[in-house]
Amino acid sequence: MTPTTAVLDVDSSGVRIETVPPPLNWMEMPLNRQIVISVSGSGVPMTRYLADRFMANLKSWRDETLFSSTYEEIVSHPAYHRIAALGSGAIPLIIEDMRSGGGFWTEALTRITGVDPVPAEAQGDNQRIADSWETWYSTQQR
Amino acid sequence: MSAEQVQAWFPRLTGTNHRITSQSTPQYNCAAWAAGCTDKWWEPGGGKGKFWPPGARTTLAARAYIEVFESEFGYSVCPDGQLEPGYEKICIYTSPPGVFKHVARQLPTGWWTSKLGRGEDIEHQSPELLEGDRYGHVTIYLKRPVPTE
Repeated sequence: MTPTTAVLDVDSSGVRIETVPPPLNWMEMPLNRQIVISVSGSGVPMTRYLADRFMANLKSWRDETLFSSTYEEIVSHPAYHRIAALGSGAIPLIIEDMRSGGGFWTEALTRITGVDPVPAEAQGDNQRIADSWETWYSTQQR
Repeated sequence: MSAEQVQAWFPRLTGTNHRITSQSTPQYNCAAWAAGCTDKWWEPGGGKGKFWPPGARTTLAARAYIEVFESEFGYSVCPDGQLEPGYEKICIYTSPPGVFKHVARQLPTGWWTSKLGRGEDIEHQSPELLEGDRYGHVTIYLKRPVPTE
């Protein structure tokens, strides 16, 4: 089968697709077609399946923990665990969500990567935590 | 947040007994907001995602929050949430008994202000409006003299 390439652009409102070269209705494409989707700007290939699962779990997680008062409740949600279980392929999508203002990703990223780039003085500071992971991610792209 | 989301979590909130007073943000939580802080997520238990004063009790028991508000911010337990001139109050929600769920702060108007998780701040007419399955019930009130500038 011929791989089909589309560029997946993730933003806070959901998933948009910019396709190269002709437009593709990727959501209707049969799953037995091999589809390579690159996150905009990163060039990291990922499958349609992973992107689907990430977005579905992200929505579930956000909706069901929106007003949870405790961090533990937020990162203990089953959908959060399912996102972490997607592994390294989910990292670009997680980073994009952090750039859009999403928080609470340090647990998942540490679980996936095995590293902790967040300095002790950033404890509890979601912005600094996001910045630390953004810096780490940038070094991985070089 | 949508009206449907609010209704699902807090059935007692209506269009006239609360108002939204901020954008949603994960930067701070209810405990930080009750303490007047907006730069960190305040919660015991360790880990990089949460801030808690060094040396403070680290369980999710309401006792841990009471001790921090007493030692760090000068609050002391009081019997109720009645508006008292010269004092500001907070109230702690628990569910099951003794387990922290939420904290709200009283405003000079007699209304209360709450940070709803990573959602928005709201002002609400009474603490009881947030009671229910999600946040439990108000079980503890604390007060302190209004800080002087």
